[in-house]
Amino acid sequence: MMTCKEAFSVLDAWEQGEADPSQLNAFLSHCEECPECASRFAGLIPLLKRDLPGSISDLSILTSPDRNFEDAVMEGIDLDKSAGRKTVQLSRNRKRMPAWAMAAAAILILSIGVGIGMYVQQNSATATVHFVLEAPSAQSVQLAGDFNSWDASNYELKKVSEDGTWEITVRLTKGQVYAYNFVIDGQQWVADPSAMAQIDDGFGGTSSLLRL
Amino acid sequence: MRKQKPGLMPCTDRAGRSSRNLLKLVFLFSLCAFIIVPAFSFAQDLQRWFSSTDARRYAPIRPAVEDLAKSVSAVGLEEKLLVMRLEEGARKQIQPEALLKALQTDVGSMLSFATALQTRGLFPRNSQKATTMTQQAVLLFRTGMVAEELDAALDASIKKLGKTDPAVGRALSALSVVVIAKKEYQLETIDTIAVAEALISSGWRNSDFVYVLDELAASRKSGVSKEETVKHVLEYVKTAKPASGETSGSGAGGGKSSNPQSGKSNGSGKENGKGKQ
Repeated sequence: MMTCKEAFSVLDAWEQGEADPSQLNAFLSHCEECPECASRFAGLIPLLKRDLPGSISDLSILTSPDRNFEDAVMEGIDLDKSAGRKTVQLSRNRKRMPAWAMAAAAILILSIGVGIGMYVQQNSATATVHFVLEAPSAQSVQLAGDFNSWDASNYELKKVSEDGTWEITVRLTKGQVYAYNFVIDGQQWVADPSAMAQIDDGFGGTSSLLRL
Repeated sequence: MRKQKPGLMPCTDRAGRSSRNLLKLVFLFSLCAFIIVPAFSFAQDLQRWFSSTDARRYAPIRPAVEDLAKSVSAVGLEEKLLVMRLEEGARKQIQPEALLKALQTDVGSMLSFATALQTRGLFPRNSQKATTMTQQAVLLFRTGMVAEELDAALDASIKKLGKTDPAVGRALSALSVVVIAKKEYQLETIDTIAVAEALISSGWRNSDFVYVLDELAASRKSGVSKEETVKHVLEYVKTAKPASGETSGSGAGGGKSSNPQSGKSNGSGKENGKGKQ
């Protein structure tokens, strides 16, 4: 069975687009047997499954369709031929769409297109960031930064070991610098001691910097 | 021939008319949503924040904040920049006067950055893009960036990429690395400018700039002087071909990648040591 460290390296390779299906399967098997990794990577497991051959995004499953499926499709086409004339007739009687309706449709399609484009762009330009803090005496640890409007309520770190190690994995847009803090027990705002740079937050405290 | 009475139309015409009316409504709604809503939402950021529950205790500083917002809007930046800082202050339960003081300092940085872009014809036409860039610049000013570094980086970027938005992005990427290096290794401004210019004019991708921090760390660890370290880094930027064109995404905040080739992005990456509290 794969070790947790090996699972981390598979995740690295996957983020680079270099993981092969056997590695992904081994990773998923590891997560089934390791509750700690399963909980830690719960958000990423569906994405890994998506990348496996045979998933809906994998077009290779379409290259050799089942023979029965092909026959069924051809049969359906034959049946349609008999109704072909009527279909043509109906399309001749159809009225043209008015210009304003076409403009409405164009605006709607444009809006949806822009939305999808932004979504795709954002997703291709994000990085998975793993935050870790050792706080043995903490009852709760949260993450707040300019990426979540400093609202820590939905960014709870999970306690992953008895020695008080807390972790959270988030996805952030690449190419930016972020300021962030950990919030201990909902009150104490602390900088990340392992951050490469700390900055004055302008209020007499310290924030940490993250550059992606 | 039977005449059609006015007002009594065949069912099919009536249905057609109602569906056309519906489509017209959809068209008008789409038009409104497409044009009016974004403009409205940007203009209302500050007003909306001050109406929130979190903001009640900050009512006394509202007029002063609105004045700051006017000066920010006057240079083409969104007041969202102030709202983000207000949110941070409110969550940290900062006193109103202290929050106002921090905002005034930030607005000074915002205006310096905007002026630096405008004088070079680099200010982005897209106000959202300008706002994001300014947010980055404000953080860099708070990290210790000085005006000379910004000016030098922008000029080097124009030489490399012309007066374009990517030129500003490249300058900010290089500056984000050198100001962190300056803070961490107490480099002189003259050295940070040299490293920033070298990075910008190199063939490196912006996302690879962060490898310089690994090189600096290794060099300092080996015990060489600050001057030698800078020389070594400059040579490294000129000669090395970082990674394989992959994006590094290595975090400056605890996200230092242990393997520059990996492209892995970490916060306080567990394998790189975790923060102790």
